[in-house]
Amino acid sequence: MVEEIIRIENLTKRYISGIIKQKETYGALDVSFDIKRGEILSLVGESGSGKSTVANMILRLLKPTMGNIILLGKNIKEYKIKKYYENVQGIFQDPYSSYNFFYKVDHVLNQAISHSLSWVDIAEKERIISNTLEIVGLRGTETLGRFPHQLSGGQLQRILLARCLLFKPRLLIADEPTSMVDACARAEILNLLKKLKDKSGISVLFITHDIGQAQYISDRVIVMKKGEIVERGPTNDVFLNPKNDYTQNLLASVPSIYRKWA
Amino acid sequence: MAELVLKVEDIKGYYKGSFGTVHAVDGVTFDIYKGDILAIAGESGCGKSSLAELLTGSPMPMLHYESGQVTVNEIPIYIPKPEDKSKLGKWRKEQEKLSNQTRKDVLCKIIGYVPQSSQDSLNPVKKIRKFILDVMKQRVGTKPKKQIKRSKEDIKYDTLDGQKVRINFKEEVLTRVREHLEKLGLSGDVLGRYPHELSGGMKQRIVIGISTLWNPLILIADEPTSALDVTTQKILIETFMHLREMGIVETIVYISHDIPTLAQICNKCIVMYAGKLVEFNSMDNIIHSPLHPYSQGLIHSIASFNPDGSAETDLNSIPGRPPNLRDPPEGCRFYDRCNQRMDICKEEYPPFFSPNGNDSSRVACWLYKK
Amino acid sequence: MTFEKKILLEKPEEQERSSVSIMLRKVFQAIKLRYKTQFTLIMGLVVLVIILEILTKIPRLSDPFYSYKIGASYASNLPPSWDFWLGTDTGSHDIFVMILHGTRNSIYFGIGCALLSTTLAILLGVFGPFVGGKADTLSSFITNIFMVFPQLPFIFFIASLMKTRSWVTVMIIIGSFSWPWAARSIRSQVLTLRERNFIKVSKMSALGNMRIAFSEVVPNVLTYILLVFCISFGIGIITEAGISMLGLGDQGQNFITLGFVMWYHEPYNMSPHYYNIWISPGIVLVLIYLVFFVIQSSFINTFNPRTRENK
Ligand SMILES: Nc1ncnc2c1ncn2[C@@H]1O[C@H](COP(=O)(O)OP(=O)(O)OP(=O)(O)O)[C@@H](O)[C@H]1O
Ligand SMILES: Nc1ncnc2c1ncn2[C@@H]1O[C@H](COP(=O)(O)OP(=O)(O)OP(=O)(O)O)[C@@H](O)[C@H]1O
Ligand code: SF4
Ligand SMILES: [Mg+2]
Ligand SMILES: [Mg+2]
Repeated sequence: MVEEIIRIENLTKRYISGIIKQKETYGALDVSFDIKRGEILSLVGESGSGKSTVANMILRLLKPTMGNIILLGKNIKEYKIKKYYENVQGIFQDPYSSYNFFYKVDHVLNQAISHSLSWVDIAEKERIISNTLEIVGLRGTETLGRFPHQLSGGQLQRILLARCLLFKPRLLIADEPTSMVDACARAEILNLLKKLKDKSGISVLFITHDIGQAQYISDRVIVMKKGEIVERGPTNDVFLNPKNDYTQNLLASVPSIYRKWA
Repeated sequence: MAELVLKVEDIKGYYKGSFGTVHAVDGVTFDIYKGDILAIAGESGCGKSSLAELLTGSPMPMLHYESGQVTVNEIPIYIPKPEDKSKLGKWRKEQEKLSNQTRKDVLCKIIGYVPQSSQDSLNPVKKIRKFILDVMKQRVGTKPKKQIKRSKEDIKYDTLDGQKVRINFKEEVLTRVREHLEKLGLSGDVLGRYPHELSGGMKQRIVIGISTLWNPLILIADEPTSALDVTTQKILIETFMHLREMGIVETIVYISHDIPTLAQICNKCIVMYAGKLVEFNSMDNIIHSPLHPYSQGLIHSIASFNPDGSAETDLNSIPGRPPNLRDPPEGCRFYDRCNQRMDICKEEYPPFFSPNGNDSSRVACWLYKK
Repeated sequence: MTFEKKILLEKPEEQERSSVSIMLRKVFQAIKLRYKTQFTLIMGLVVLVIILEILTKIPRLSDPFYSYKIGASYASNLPPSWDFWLGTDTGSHDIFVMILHGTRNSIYFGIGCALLSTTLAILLGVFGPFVGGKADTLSSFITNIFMVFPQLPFIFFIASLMKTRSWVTVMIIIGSFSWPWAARSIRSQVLTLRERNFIKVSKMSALGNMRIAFSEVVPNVLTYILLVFCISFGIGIITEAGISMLGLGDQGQNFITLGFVMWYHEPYNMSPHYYNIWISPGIVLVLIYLVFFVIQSSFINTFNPRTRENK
């Protein structure tokens, strides 16, 4: 049996907005799924479907209204923050806002390393950082010591990925990591995630609104609509023979270079 | 042979300011014939929007016309810049005059332009109706009124949506506008709503509706669907097709960085890289047999949805970054990232070659030198 | 790795042992880099204070209330001369010496006030919204209360209630009333920063809230904080001058400020050289204020991303 990394049970998030006339919206409603070891699970859906809400709840950046998240058989509430982030890490949509423009890009790496490897000596830290950067296909001399605006979106996103790898996580939450990156550099990040899965057995929750990318990268997919899961299954089952009306409609609207509508 | 609507000859436009000179559009040449749907593709920052601004004849403040010519329906919209520095002042005045003339005669009537993220530029505190009347005011000079009491000479005529309208009469204008928007699949009551009450797709259609009110010959749409969901995107693309079927606009220039979307509606495509046009080809050729190394890289880096089979097994990306447009290199601008580069590429910028022997495809790359 | 490179790499690392010192050093470097103009101006002010401090230690200038004599008679109401640069008052005190002391003390007073109100503004404007929840509600409630308070009347009221007013109490009164607008504007900045991804990234490095607030949020609102500091300084000096002129300041004669100098001479404004007595402290006050106005306006540059990008 394949090891289960994380299981999400009936996860619900209710947002209350408005001061006088209160309005309730469900960012996520009764979302349940699991991710196995060495698997890429894609969460697809249109904007506002609650993908980021789910991601932020798993990353403990948002408190769920209801439901449980079970990491390696233990409820995440029982984990110490520090221990938890050694297992789960994430990258976000906008690489530029993930950096504090006050500091050089090294800042995020130093932050991570002083947390996860505070006991190793400095030369060793240097070595680890340059090794990790190599994994994501960057050279320290090209990137370190620069300010975020001097690097491209793709490079920034890969440095963030390197930051995640410093923790040696088991699960990586990638919330639309490619949507603000140039098309030419996009493939690099997708391939990198694939490589991480194959080589290091990291599981990835890949969030996207681009069906093409989900098809390229994932083993299984979940389709979300307005906070709820409408369809799930192995990639080819969902994308080639969709059962649900919404999914069918969604797939029919995807522009593709393999077919023309008219 | 179809009729030539827009002729662009070696157009150059630079951003000038305290930041220096950005060579955003640096010599682009192409023709558009009646009935074409032309795609302008390229990475972000390659100058697509700047090119569109130049085509309208009155580019935005920081962007300055440098040289070249754009001929719209046989009307030239730029006066070539004189070599002589002392004549620059006089030239600037004349060009200003011509731009104003263009804005009046060409914009909207011959060229409809939907700028990038224009759906966000709808005034949030005004109803759509008010916004449209403001646009009319800009064109007429006075605000369309309920009725005009003065002498007959004051009445101005214009052709909206193919019909003659007294443009300073509010009701007549609004009726036409309502009918026009209905053709785009919007109900008439959107006129009474505020922008935040409308979805992104509706706002985008309103903006397109406004720019096509005069049934222009060409519609230039800059990233009209990029911020939208795929389902809304499809509706919008169908709106474009619809516009053509109904004969409202026949020629469209569609700017986007999203190649699968372009593939849906366009028949010709130009690929831009760092301010230069690198390839001009039919859309099918761009997708299936691109010529320029950059176009090839671009096509091979997109993960497109395949509705009846498994996805590509292998995507490739192009390493590196485009050159800085403040100080572009002498030779081929793709040199640093090209995997087929040669010595000549660094020294001299490649001219256009037509590997097929005819004008239907052109590529700026030394590989195709005969 | 070559030997040289190793040394190069180790050298800076050696100092980065403690995280607090890294943080302070980085912040200091960034301030120096980004706020060059302001930095020079503020350094100029520090030098001025040092000069004043030394001058007032010179025996001849050390006592503002020393009554001078020329020969046997008191030197009262003298016009400006080489001996008494700004003349003397009815009590035979050297006005120049008084202004020297007054200027020094006014600057100290302003700095004290600014420190107090900036600290309060940071506490309520940065930490409140950053921690969120109850802390946020509480901090914005307090800010709003202080905001709508009629400050000046209240300051007068408190000051007149107190029997003995030392300059410290006056400073606390003024300092604790001049921060709400600052806290409000800092707060609005922090609220937008809070949603940025880099905060999430720091949280995912398991850093504590306080640490994130200090090393991630504060640097981003630093421009604001410095601006607040300068404005509070100006407000502090001017308000104190106003209060002292009304006789509500510190009347012990060991801490004379520019406002005090004016108040002290108010009964003698019919003396023949009253213009020295009145106008000179005023001019000094305006000059100090002007320096800070220049500093404030130079911040405009730092707010403009285009000029910042070039650095
Ligand atoms: N802080 C909030 N307060 C109120 N409602 C919110 C908040 N954050 C999100 N929502 C709502 O929750 C729903 C889901 O939002 P979410 O950001 O998770 O969508 P998403 O799938 O990530 O969309 P996108 O593709 O645009 O990133 C949306 O309808 C949104 O309006
Ligand atoms: N107002 C401006 N001032 C200075 N430079 C500018 C300005 N606007 C754009 N540029 C520069 O001009 C170049 C071309 O910009 P342009 O907006 O035309 O690109 P684009 O292809 O439309 O990109 P996108 O896909 O992001 O819309 C870019 O390098 C950009 O940095
Ligand atoms: S001209 Fe040379 S460098 Fe440029 S794309 Fe062609 S082969 Fe590559
Ligand atoms: Mg999202
Ligand atoms: Mg653009």
